[in-house]
Amino acid sequence: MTTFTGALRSSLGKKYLMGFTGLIWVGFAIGHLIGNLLLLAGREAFNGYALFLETLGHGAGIYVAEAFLLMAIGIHIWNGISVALVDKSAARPIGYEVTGNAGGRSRKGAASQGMIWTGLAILGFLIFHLITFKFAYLFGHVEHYTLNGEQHVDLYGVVVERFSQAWYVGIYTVVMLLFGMHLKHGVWSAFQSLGLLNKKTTPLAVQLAWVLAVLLSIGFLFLPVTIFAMNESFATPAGGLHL
Amino acid sequence: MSTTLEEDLRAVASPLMNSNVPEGPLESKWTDYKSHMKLVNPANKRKYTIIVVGTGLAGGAAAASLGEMGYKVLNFCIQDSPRRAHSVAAQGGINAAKNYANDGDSVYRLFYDTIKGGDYRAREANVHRLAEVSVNIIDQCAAQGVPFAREYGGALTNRSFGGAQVSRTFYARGQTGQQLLLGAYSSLMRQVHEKTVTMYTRREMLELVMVDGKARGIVVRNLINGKLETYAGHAVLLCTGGYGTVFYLSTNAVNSNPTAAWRCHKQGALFANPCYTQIHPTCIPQEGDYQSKLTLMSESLRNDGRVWVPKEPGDKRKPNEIPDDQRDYFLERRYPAFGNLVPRDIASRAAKLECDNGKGVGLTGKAVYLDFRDAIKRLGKQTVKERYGNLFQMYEEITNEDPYKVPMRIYPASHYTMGGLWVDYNLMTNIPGLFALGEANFSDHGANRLGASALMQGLADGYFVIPYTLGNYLASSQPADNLTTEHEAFQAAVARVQEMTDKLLSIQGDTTPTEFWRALGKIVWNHVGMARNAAGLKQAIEEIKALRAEFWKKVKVDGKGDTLNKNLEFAGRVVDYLELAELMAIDALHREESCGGHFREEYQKDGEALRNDDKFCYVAGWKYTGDVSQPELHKEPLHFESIKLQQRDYK
Amino acid sequence: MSKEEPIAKKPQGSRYTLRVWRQAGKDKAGGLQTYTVNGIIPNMSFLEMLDVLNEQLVKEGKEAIAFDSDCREGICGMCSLVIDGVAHGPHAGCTTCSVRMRDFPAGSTITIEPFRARAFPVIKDLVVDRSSFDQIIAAGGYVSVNTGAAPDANCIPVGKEAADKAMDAAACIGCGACVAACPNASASLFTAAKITQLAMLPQGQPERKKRVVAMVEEMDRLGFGDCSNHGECEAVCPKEIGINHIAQMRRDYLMATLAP
Ligand SMILES: Cc1cc2nc3c(=O)[nH]c(=O)nc-3n(C[C@H](O)[C@H](O)[C@H](O)COP(=O)(O)OP(=O)(O)OC[C@H]3O[C@@H](n4cnc5c(N)ncnc54)[C@H](O)[C@@H]3O)c2cc1C
Ligand code: HEM
Ligand code: SF4
Ligand code: FES
Repeated sequence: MTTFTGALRSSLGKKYLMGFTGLIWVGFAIGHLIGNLLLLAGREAFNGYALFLETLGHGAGIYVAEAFLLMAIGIHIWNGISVALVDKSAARPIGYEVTGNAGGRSRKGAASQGMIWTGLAILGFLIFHLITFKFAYLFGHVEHYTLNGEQHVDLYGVVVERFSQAWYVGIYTVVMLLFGMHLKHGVWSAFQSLGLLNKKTTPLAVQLAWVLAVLLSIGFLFLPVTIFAMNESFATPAGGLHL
Repeated sequence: MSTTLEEDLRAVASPLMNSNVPEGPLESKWTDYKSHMKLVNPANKRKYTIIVVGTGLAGGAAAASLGEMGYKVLNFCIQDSPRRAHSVAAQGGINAAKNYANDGDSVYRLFYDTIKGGDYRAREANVHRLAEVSVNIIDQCAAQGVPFAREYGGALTNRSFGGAQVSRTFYARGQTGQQLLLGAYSSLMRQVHEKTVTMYTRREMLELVMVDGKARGIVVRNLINGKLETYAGHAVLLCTGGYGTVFYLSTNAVNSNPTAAWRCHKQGALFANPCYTQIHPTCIPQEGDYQSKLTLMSESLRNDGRVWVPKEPGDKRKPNEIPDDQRDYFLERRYPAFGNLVPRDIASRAAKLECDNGKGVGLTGKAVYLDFRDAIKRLGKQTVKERYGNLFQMYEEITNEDPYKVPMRIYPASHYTMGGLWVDYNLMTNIPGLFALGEANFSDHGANRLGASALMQGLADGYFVIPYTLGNYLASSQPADNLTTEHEAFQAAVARVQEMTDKLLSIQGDTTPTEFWRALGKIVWNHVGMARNAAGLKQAIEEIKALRAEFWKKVKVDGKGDTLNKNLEFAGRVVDYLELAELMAIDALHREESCGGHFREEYQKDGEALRNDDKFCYVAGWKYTGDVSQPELHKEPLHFESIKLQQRDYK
Repeated sequence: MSKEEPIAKKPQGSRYTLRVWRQAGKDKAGGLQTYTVNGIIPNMSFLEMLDVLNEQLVKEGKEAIAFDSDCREGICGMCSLVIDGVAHGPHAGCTTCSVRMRDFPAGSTITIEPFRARAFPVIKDLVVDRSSFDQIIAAGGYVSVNTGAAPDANCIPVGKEAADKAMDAAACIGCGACVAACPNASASLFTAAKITQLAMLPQGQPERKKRVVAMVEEMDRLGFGDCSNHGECEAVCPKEIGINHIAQMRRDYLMATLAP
């Protein structure tokens, strides 16, 4: 009989992995958003939060978390490409001349069919995102501040500076909408992939997916747009949103 | 044929038709027989190759069971999967003498009902065995995971069916045939997995191969590439279904056909009682010529619907514009006691009569109304909906008319054929090694089949009869030799098929096979249908002969022989329809009595069928003589020991 | 037979333009060809319309279009066809043979293609080979009980609810529309329906784990795609089998491989 690890390579296994890793990242995204909201509270609060994360578990915490997330997304991407590009075209080498949608109970649509493209857009964005924020210091000058005699990157400053640039906010907006699409199908789909749904719970999961998709994409959008629109307020030394 | 007709018709047993019914009391014949049969030693079973043609309830059950026993089984079907055999379409249910309803059912009662329902034209011993094994069928199917309807407590539930006074019909929603077939199919697939059964789909059997007077193989057309393939074995089981499609219009599937049975007949197998056909009264009528398949609707509709036609022939008004005094509720008028609930055959005949008199309704004039107006008034729409909602919906989907507002249109159609290849108690035809199971044989339903008993018979034959009787045959008269398809008999059979194919493709006339089939169907329907008479039958015989001659001059078969070619497939079947139809008429003409589905207008008393037990209490087995129009009649007298012959009476 | 009068005067039907996939054989190239067909009445079924076209083609000396059908009442699963991009056409809960021409505006153009999947190779024109479905069932879609070995049917009670659930799943007609409609050509709905039917019944328990593993592996081996939960299968399924069955299959497979 097939072992569990063997089973993970089956078509069903791929989806367990997709769903599981997808949900891990959804969890991360929720946490990340909540943390990011501290931008509203100002420079000190946000930088403090960043520092807290950096020093978690004597500095090892963040590496563990990052490695975990990296592994998760690696698995997610690997299987995503396998499901949506490799297996898909192998299973139907000759396509239809006309494709339609049966409507009714079908959940097929731009979101479900675009998962790989919204996913790849997210991937591209993630790399870009890491370059512009996390590894910003490698690619150019960044401001530092001193706390207890130690130098730290002024992450708040970096973020606000980026979000004052229209093109950056533009890209961010587009990607967040794509991210919302990814989640609109992804969240309920993940529960279905893990075999957690039945006739009654499916509509609930679909609603949850909508809610999360809207909250997360609007939530993440809210920050750059607000910072861009209210740059004077955010760019002050204290930073944050003053109304 | 004239010589045989002029003979004394009193049954004289033909040596070709030895029923081989074992001795002993009816109740214990089968049990005793089974315990004295010869057996094939387990190690020898795999040396035997058994050819099973057909994957319906009969074929699927037989192939799976024989595979389990260790035989090497080769299983064939026309469709792309064994799961699609026409058994799949049966809706109503399957009978079994379980007496779970505690209403006094028993093996004897089921046996009695079946004999009586068949109008005393079936073999007692076979029917008793059928009733006996009916209980095992339900057990077997339940064990396979067939999702029969259940009570809340978990026990199986029953419904009543076809006028029986007890509830003995098991069902799985409206898809009983499908579920039973899928049960047999899954067992079959298990044997395919075990490699005891090899499946050959998209194959059509076109010839039987005989060696030394025994059935030893078949020729099939591979429907994908047109190649003729030969297969050798130690016995051939024909489970190919009925011949209801001779009528063109029928409730059968478009691929249902009598070709396999007919080609065996032409190799010497007796065709029994071909005139026993069943017409179902409540089908959705034909819309136009292009249509051959009719959809059946449950007869239960007649419980509340009233059947009528306009009094005036050719009245083209909308039904709701015709006032009551200008309507003829002809069943209520002619059968005041039973009204709309007269039996199937009577209802069918009455409807046809009205239409023949020009009072038919609808686009084609071949329909009568089944009206729920009064039922809705009396019971309310809600109640009617609860009772018949799904049927109304099905009707509306097909016709686009709302039966809550406009009366339904119904018309009878060919549904089932009781006749078929003659078989003895062992289900073996008069050709040694050739067996016939399910609707393909003539055995258990006499002149009329009761509802929910065809499924029972198919599974009984396949699961519980053939596994024993086949072993007995092999052990006693067929050594496990290794005959191969190299034998010249195979070449000869292939040549016969090839010759016909070449001929069909060479004519290139101007009429398609379907057009001939349609024309034939009309002849059969008009003269060999619900009501027959000598003049009409004689006319039919002449018309069929003429049509056959025309076919061989004018048929146009397109395409080639070496590819998938549905037109060629159909052409071959139409060849057989054109011959079998004549035999049906000959049989109907010779049987000068009315019984069950065979109603001769000359033999009736106030519309009731009049049997003639003195002269016709026998099975008519027709032998091919080389000339389709001159078949030879053989007889198997029927003896009734447990049941007294009575006239069916609906007064 | 020229004497035979048609049973009805030919109704003045409508005309349709059809774009039909023609392909001479399995490894031959194929393409869409355009035909027009006349005299189509609204209550005609889609396949009857094709019958009419075929008779017309044969009379013109052209080769008829090959397509599959048998029962023509929506139960055998033999008919197929992707009609204007939707498997089994526009009418929900219907097989192609049950679709009526009134669902298509008179005079419209209709595109007809075969079911497409690597595991369903085209045999000719619109006819495809679906024997891979039989192989999935052969891998384990049964209860291993030999003929004659069954206990009395009422020995094993089956609650009504379980029986109903099993019946919902068992209604599958094996048509393959779920595969045809799936953007990934996945056979999950079909496979899950059989697995669920037997998983609901006590008779199916002894082999439950073995069955789900074997059937899933066979499905993968045959080259069907993965399920991305588009749900298009459920929408085209003529028996309206729900994707909740796929979730059931995934649960069972997970359990079977975690605790064999
Ligand atoms: C609409 C309808 C409803 C019915 N409802 C009921 C009901 O409720 N209860 C009941 O008891 N009965 C019912 N019946 C009758 C019953 O379904 C059939 O009599 C029975 O299923 C026949 O089973 P079978 O196995 O003999 O043949 P079939 O199921 O017809 O199978 C025939 C098999 O033979 C194969 N075959 C045929 N010719 C060839 C050939 N030349 N070469 C190779 N293979 C061939 C076919 O591919 C198929 O696999 C109904 C029938 C119809 C039409
Ligand atoms: C923050 C980042 C991401 C999150 C939160 C996320 C979330 C999810 C979730 C929850 C699912 C549903 C899984 C399932 O159906 O089982 C999913 C599916 C998918 N994701 Fe992501 N994802 C992310 C990034 C990516 C990336 C970078 C890719 C790039 C390849 C990607 C490609 C896909 C694909 C192709 C699917 C569909 C799988 C299928 O068709 O079944 N995702 N994602
Ligand atoms: S699940 Fe539905 S669509 Fe798929 S094969 Fe079964 S009946 Fe057809
Ligand atoms: S032909 Fe049988 S389902 Fe359509």
